[in-house]
Amino acid sequence: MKYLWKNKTLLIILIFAFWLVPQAISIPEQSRTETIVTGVAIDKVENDYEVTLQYIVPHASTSSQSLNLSSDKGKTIDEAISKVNAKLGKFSGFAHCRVLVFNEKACEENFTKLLDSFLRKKTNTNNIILINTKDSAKDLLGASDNLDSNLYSYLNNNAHSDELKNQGDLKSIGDYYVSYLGPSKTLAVNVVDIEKESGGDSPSGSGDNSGGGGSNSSSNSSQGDNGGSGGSQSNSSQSSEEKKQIKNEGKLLIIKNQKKLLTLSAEDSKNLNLFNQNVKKSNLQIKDFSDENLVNADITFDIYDKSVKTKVYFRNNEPYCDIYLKIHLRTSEVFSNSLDKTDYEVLQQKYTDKLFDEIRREIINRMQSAERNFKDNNYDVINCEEAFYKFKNGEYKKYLKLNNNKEEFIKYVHFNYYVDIAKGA
Amino acid sequence: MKKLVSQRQLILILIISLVALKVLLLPSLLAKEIGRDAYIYVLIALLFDFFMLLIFLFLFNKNPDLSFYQILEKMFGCMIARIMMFALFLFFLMKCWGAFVTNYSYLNENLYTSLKWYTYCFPILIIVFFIARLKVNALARLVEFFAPIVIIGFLVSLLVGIRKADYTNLLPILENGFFGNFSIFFKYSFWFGDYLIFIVFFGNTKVEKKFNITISTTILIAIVLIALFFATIFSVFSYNSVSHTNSISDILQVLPSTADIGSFDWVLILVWDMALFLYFAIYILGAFYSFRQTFGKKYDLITTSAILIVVLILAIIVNFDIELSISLAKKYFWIFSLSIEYGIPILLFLFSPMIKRRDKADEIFMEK
Repeated sequence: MKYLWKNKTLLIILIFAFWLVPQAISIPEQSRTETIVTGVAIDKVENDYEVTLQYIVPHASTSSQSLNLSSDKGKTIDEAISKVNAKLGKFSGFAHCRVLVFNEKACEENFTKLLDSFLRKKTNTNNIILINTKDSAKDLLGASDNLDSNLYSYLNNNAHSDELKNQGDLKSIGDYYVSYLGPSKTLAVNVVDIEKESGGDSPSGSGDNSGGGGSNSSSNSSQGDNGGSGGSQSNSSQSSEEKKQIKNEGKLLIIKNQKKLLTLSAEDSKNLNLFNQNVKKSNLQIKDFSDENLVNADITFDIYDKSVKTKVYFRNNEPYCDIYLKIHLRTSEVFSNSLDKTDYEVLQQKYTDKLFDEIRREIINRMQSAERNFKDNNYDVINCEEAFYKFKNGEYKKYLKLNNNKEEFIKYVHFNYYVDIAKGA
Repeated sequence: MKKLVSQRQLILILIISLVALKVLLLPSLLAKEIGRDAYIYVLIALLFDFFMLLIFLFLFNKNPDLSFYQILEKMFGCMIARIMMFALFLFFLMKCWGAFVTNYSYLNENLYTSLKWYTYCFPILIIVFFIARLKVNALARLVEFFAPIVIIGFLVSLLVGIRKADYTNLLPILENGFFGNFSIFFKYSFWFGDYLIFIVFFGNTKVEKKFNITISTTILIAIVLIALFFATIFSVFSYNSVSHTNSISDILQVLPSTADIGSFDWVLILVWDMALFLYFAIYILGAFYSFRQTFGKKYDLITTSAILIVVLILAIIVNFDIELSISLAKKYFWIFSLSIEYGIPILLFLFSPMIKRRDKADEIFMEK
């Protein structure tokens, strides 16, 4: 005791140890009080929100942990989450939440309502990816349970892997708020649907490759042609009565002024993605093409890299936007009535000027089609107005003062397209 | 006077005091009030701080063996010197209060679901009590050991941000004019003036080769990087910068494509908590030093305890509420902060010839 009294530092440390250690002993381990949420689904059901949490219960294990689903309804999102927490008897941690799926009905009203509770959470939820689905978000999250990884990894691979970069740009909660607070107030969100197929004897998916060794006991993914018109990636559950397959055609949902504006078809989405610098891949079909080498050929090209530059300016008090598109492409398929060895060699080695012109014309047609669509429906998902605001601020403000058309600015912009084609190996 | 602190240690202390508090909440607050141009004002304020630091360097070089208090005493006499030291004590005390509450809020937001104030306060206050009681070189060695980790954390965060940033989000520059935002920015003077901690190291820092050029170049680089950090924050988060109240780790979390890197934000949170702790310890030392110069060295133990208790009481008064603390600092302390940050160095610069005259007068008196 005398020693302790002399050594005051040790004494103070001991006092604190006596005070804090019993507190620490009485605290239950966090894995027993908390679930780790990896995905959220929000469905609007009548006047309530049904929130489904996809979660794992952390515990020491060498094998992968299974994903569970739990859902409940509430007047607000937070109320529904609280009910799920009460049901599970655990607090939901959102630090590892990567994806938020919502159904079409949920975004028909104020979309910000869906996200507000997430933005206010202590953990950073800004990078949660937003996904729209037509019918039931809960079903989509459930179907994704059978994926080799999880829904986020699946979408992330589609959007960012070098081979699959054609499924649009993944947008997060943070992106929504940026667009909501910006001049365009418009955001394009990826749409992923599910297909329900009754019957089916096979426990695995109907695709080409059924892989094994996933983290879940269910079957694994099959990946067919992704992207392109009507292409889909699918995954099936093991149920023999009803298979739920994820169907990702690359469709986009346009949200404007906090509400759903429209859902673009796969083809329209693909056209719109030509404006998007972040979507590097696509494909292109030229039909019934003839030149000195080919006769009535249908040629498919693979766009494997792309850069988009935008230049905005005013001329005669009219807004103009020049889009410079540089694409790198290679031939992926040729169907020709007179297909022989020569055709193949010609296409691999040399593109004729006529073919270049045809490709250029096709791309410009597709961009003009997208332009018609966003002008007709009055949405600016390419952030054209923001470019005027940033780079031609003075003239932009003057223009808005003279023409009272801020809400429909995109409709009055004249677009010019310049396409540069680089042929790849 | 015995030289206890090396040039390297001094630089690291200045860098920690420059960076630690500015890269958490301040970008979000400035984004809310000033918008995307905040980095310009931050750069200007930091450059002002840099010029004030140059004045201190000038004084330090002229009187390498005198403490700051001795310089003040020679210039203005004992009474005014003590008043000035007391004003500096209050300034440092405010900084301690800011760091203490920010650290609590930072931990509460990032690491704990609910952190009890006493669980946070007592261990940290006891550790800081012992640090303040040690000689200045003990803290300098502590900073020398941990500062490189903090600097690496800052640079990693900045580099990730630069890779993701779209700097066109900073356009149009100064849309609402240049001077309009100054009155708002002045209210944030509390966050600046960190160079003032240099006063603790007057007279006890070893002057090594190229002392002035090394300190001024390093601090200038740090200033540019901090301004770049602010510019990067707005470029990455754009209109949503306001909601990112923990910029240093949020910048890692915002990247969906690099979610794996995002997981490292935990490491960065811990590193930055260390930076806040060092910052708090540095300013407790500053407060302790200036208080001791004002009231003498008789009651060191009581003084140190009293300073920490005052900091604790201030934090309890505002209920550890960071927003309330900020609004109080903006409302009541900005003029005081501004006058201390820029008034004291300018006065010192103007009165610096007085030291020579007094020295000469002393010499004549001694000869007689």
